[in-house]
Amino acid sequence: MLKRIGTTVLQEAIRSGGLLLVVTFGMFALLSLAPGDPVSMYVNVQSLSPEEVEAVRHELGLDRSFPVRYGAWLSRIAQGDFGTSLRSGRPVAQDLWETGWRTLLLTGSAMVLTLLFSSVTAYLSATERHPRWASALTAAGYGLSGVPVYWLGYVVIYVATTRFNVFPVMSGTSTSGAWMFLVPVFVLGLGNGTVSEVTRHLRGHLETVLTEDYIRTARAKGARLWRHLYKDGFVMPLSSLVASKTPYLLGGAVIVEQVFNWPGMGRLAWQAALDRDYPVLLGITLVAALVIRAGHMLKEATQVAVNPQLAS
Amino acid sequence: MPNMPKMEVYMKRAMVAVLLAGAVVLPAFGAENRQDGFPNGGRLVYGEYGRPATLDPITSNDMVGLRVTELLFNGLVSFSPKNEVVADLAESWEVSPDNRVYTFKLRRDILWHGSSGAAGRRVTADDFVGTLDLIQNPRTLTPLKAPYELVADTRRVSEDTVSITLKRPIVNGLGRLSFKVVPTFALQNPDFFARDDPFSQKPVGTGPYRLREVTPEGDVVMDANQSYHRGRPHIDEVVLKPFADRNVLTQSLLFNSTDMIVQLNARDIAQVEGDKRFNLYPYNALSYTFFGHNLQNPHLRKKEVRQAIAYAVNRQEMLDSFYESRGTVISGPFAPGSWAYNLDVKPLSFDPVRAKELLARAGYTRSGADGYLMTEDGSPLQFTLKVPIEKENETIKRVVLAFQNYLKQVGVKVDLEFREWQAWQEDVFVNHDFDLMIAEWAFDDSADISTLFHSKETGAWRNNFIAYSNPEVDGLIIEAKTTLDREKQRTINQKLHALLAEDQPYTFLWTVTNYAAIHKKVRHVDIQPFKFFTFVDGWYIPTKEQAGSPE
Repeated sequence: MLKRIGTTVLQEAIRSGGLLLVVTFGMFALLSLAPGDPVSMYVNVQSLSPEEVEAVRHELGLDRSFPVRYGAWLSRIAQGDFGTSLRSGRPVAQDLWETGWRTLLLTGSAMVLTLLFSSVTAYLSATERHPRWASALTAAGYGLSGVPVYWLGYVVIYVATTRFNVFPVMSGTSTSGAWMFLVPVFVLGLGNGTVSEVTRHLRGHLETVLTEDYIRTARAKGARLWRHLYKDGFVMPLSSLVASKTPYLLGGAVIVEQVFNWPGMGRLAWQAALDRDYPVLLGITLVAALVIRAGHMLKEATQVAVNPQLAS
Repeated sequence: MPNMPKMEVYMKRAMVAVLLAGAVVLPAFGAENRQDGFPNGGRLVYGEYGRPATLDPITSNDMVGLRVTELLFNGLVSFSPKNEVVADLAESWEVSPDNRVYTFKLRRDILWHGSSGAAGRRVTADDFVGTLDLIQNPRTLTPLKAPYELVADTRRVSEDTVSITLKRPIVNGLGRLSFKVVPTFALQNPDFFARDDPFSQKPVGTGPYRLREVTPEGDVVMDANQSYHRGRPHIDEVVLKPFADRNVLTQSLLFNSTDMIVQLNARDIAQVEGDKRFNLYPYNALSYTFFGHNLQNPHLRKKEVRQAIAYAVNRQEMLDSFYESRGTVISGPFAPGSWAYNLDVKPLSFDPVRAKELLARAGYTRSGADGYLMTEDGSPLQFTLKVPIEKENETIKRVVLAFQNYLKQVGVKVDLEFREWQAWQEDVFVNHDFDLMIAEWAFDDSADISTLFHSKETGAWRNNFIAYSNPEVDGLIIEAKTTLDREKQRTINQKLHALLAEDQPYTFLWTVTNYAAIHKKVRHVDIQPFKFFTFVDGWYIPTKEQAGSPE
């Protein structure tokens, strides 16, 4: 089995390499096409002559052609050098590391919450126990999915500040309010727009599995349903859901981090986009793409592990 | 030397003794408690919208970063609350008769912040020479390049004397030489400065506060400089907390996560004002908001149309509704706090009837079925107003919607186009692809509007993007720039004000008063309107209120 997983992982790695190349190239192209450039971060362009502005561009290496710049960036990345931020001069790798794990924490926890909520709702709906709870949760899921995540964030802050007299926003030394971390997790986990879809998907899958013969046998035997159900009914769909919903969570994280002042990669990305800070943006693109690909690879590996017949 | 008289030898010894004593005494003098009797201690946490890019005064180009540099650095001269030039690191100066050479005698008790090998090291003339050379080096990317282009030469006259020679004499030269000094010996490269030099994130200065650390969350923590030349500041620690959302920033103040906001959001002013825990401190920047008319548009080229637009818009009503009347409607191209503003010229009144008359006189007499006036070719009289989106300024959105409505009442159609900041800049400054635009100009004390209205200042990235051309205005602008007589400058500027108020190349709107909100526990607060933290060393927190600071 390990060999099977190993082969799958290798195949995925090669595919991922190609994809990352395409994604970073696409991002680079987008940045080049976008109006504006980082020059105005450094100097007041209006007070300089066109020659002086060109000199600034030259100093920043912006006057080189697009393929040259992309090639230079690529060769540096190959050596592990992510470059320095155009805005702050700090090494991009350091920024990515410091903000990356925070975003990972936020989106990871939010993902757990989404799956938890959806799993419970799906299970209750599919097994038709507690039908009223099932309906209520399903309705709540639909409602939450339709709500924009920043609106939900503001509402939660409003309720927290007016009803509970608590300010749930990250502002510095976090030890005093570690539990406050749960608030943005709550907002992102339930507000990222995928809850109802995940519930539907899981429920559909569960319903299918529940009609399988081996489940009926288990029921007839009086065995506990869950032991027989979880592999096909949960692990399989969950693993593909995690892989496919990660992008939505990363996108939602950008907004939630702004609202809750969470010092993560999303907030960094927004600032970098405004400044056309392309080393930072490309670094983030790379990391995000890697994370998503890793999710896919994990899913493939899990599914092969659960159902060895899938390794073909 | 042989045969030195005994007197001299004794004197020499005595001199040495005094010098030694002086060397010990002088720094201690700086570190003494100030004589004002206020207590030391406490912590001030202030919130800002946005994060500083860099913390050094050479590359800083954003307001948040610039304010931090005021806490960490000093220059030769500084400014009083009334914007008069006062001594800072220089104790005295002389100006040559031709107004070109400024010789500064430095104080001898200025020490660099004690860290990274600069501990206890005195600031000398070399540091000032080094800083100006750094600024002028073509490889240094700094917004200071343009303002300091007029420095021809900087040289060390002695350890404590530096002389700066300007290329040409200018009015208020002293005020222009207020750059902050950096320890070039502590830089990776002493000749030119780039953002990836660690100094930009770990700066060393001479200011009332020194940087302790930047936390992973982005908080900038600063400690009081015990050897500050004006006496150590009272407050022990100042922390900057950056926020990514304006509403949340205000909430942080109300929930004791911060003690101060430097620039309060317009719509939150009333709420904070009503809160007894805070004081509001108004300060006026030399800036104003305006609508610019692209004079390459054939309709806007007609003066009557521009004047009609001004009469059609009720600026006082907008100021009252959106800014709670906290500001002044202006009549011309200067900020009302500026010495150049002509108080005799009154803003145009709100007169939609007059606006319609002017439009009729300009030839727009027929109206279409949709209620808008028609041009000769039968299309409605319409303009595209390009609005920059920068960091969510929702008040501007209300202003432009109201503007659209006012103009609809007189039969002019306005299409709003919201553009991302850099894209907007390209539209306006490079492609001149706009009919109307809205923006804010910020000025320094020189009240120099030449780049805005002189006919030669057109072209990519020039400030006269409206393509205004008026020979009389051109002449006056040149005169104002070249005269060294402040009074003559004032008269010329006032004339310019009257001319431009009549010609309306812009619809001049208003100057909004900025408000800082500070917790009542902070006392003796003096704010310099353009360099906010200049007097922070005198602020204090009473001992009883020092504990219980926000985390």
